[in-house]
Amino acid sequence: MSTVDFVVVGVIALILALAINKIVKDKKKGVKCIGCDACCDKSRKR
Amino acid sequence: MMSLANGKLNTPYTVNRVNTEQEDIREFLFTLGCYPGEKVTIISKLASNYIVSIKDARYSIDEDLAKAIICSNH
Amino acid sequence: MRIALAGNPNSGKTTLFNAITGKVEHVGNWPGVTVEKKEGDVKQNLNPRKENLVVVDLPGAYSMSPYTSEESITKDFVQNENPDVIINIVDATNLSRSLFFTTQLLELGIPVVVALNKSDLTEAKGIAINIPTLSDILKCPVIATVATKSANNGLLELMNAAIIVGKSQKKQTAPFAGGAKKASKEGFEKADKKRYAFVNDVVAEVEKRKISSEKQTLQDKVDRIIAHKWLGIPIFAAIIYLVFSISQAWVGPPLADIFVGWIDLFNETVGSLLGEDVNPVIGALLLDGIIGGVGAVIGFLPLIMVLFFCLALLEDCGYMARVAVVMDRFFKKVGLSGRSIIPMIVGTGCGIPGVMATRTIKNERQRRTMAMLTTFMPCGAKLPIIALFAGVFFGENSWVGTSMYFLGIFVIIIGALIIRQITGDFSRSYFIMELPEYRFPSIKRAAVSMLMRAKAFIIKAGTIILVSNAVVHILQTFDWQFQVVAETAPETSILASIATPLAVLFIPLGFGLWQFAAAAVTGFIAKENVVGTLAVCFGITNFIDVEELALVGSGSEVSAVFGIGAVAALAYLVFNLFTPPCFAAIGAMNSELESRKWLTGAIAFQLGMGYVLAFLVYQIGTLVSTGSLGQGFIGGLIAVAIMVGFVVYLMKKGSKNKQIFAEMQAVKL
Repeated sequence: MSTVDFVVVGVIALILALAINKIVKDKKKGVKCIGCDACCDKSRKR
Repeated sequence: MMSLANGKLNTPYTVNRVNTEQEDIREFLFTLGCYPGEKVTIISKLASNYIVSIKDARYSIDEDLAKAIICSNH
Repeated sequence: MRIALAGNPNSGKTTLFNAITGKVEHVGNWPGVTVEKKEGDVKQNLNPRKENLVVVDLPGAYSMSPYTSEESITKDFVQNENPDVIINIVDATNLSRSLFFTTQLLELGIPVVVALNKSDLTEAKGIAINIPTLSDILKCPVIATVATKSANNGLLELMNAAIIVGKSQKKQTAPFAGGAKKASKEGFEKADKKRYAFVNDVVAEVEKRKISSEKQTLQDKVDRIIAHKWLGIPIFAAIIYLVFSISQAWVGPPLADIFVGWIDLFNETVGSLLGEDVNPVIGALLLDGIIGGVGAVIGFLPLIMVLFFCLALLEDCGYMARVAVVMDRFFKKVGLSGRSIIPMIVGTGCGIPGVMATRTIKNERQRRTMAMLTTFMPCGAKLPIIALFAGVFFGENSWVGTSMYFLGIFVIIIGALIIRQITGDFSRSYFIMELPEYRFPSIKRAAVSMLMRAKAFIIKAGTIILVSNAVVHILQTFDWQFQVVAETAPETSILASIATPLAVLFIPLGFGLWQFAAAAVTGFIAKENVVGTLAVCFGITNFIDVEELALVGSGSEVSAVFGIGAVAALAYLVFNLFTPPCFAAIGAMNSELESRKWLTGAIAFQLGMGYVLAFLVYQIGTLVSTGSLGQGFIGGLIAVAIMVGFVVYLMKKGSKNKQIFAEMQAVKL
């Protein structure tokens, strides 16, 4: 693999990592659909 | 005594009773202000529905419900 | 301090909530838009002393005795969760009914502030309300508010009043003590009658009306045309056609062309940046898999935004409640009622709130039926699929979207008929629905709602869709030995070998190609994936500029790229719209149906419906256009016959239940 290849693989990995991170973060928050929490019960249990 | 379904437009009727075995709809109508002694007026008859005025609001009710509301002309 | 917003349906609770918190929860001009409690922090400018203020928006309720299940959310919350203050939103144009609930709230022992909302509408209606007297009688603060206005709306006064009563040691005394804990039902009824008598006295004292409310108004005249027995349906159809024309033909595509140009430019820039040195497999993953796949989906953003803008305007003006009136008599025939249109309208935006909106339906069988069927409406995520096929195969015709909308309603009606037979529950229920007043739709509200949807769409495209496309691209690049698949043998890829067995099932539907099978499957993760996967599999990055693809035109050119003709394309579109929705929507169905049996039935029914409809579209379409039947007719016919036969068997079995139900009804009487 050339240097360019490494850079591109790095970029792809970064993009995927960001996307998956956001998905996991939202799922942990209990958001049912990523990017939209309009339907979720947003009352904080206390 | 007559059912609201046979009522005329723009005539205030006084509700006598709600003739149904479904207790919850009677209670629901009560909370809207449709109960014995109160006034109800038919605004128009549309499609298969009646547009009625109860208190200060407009409701659409179907013919079944209009038939269940027994009322009298003053 | 926790402040609950409670009041009658359509009194403007969510509008007020949005104004106080700066959030953008879904509002609409009909009763029952909010079916779930929502929480938010009070905006800085309404909370100058920076107190810890949390506001809870609740579904509308007419009283403390709930009629439908979303009303019980409200009752349970104010009764059991001890909010510190209740802001009771009262529609100023409808005191005589609203105060009934107010007096019940005042008995709870929780400090109450009354927000006399829609105060801007009273003058035009010749209503004068003596607010100080009302406040004296109710023994609680009463503040005039106009939640739709951005300034001079009374909200700061309202929040101040709420903070004061929340902190005050002095308890409010209820103006009317009905004794909520009367043992007997008769006692309860008597108490409630007295309560209404009290309310009537209060109204007589504080309210003066120049025009009596039962007089005919201009609005009633409009109703007579819009909800007319024969004109109602054509008007509804025309409005929906107009909405789809604007979004899918007139305004949407030109905007999308510009937008897609930018995406293409971006793609080219990245491509030239990579140059020739990069490994082709890695380069393709970035360019075709990630950027191309996401770009193909994102390209539809302008169309979706315009559609949502139009729908928001429709929801805002008060028309949708009239559609319920128009549709009531058709829904009655299959055991539903006009109420059922509400989940369908909400479901046109997104299936999940659509399924949740079934809570406003009282009857259990009707509610479950609608929770099963609502997702047949074309939701926002299905829109790119519709737009893609309308654009590529039917020259951007708006009838495609319109007909899918009405086909959705039609299929729901058929489905309801079948479900009624299977359950054997032929009970009828009454239809009653408050008709909200028409109002001029707010451009601002529609724009805000549109931007929220756009944001959600972009995030979805950048996360779920992006990851799915990358996975699809990798799966179709490699074979099981992790060797790069030769360009001449794409059918050896992992993806193709997984999807091919499935594709065989689709031969009778006209699209027995592994690419289409794979796209249908990824569609369950999110329906936008159908477009994304097709883009990746066929190596197309631009679905909007169809001229560039030389796809407009007749069958031969189209099949050169997709390998299917227009009839099969329509079948594929129908298949994707009428099979089960995305997993998230299935989850929502699960929680509303509250029954494994119903959920399994629902998914099986949807799979069958999608298959049968696609089969009919393809085979009949092929017969009409070419004079002979399509591929795999016999096999498909057998499959369809088995499915239909099973449903007929269940319906026969259900008619026995019908007698049992009838007997049960008889016992109840």
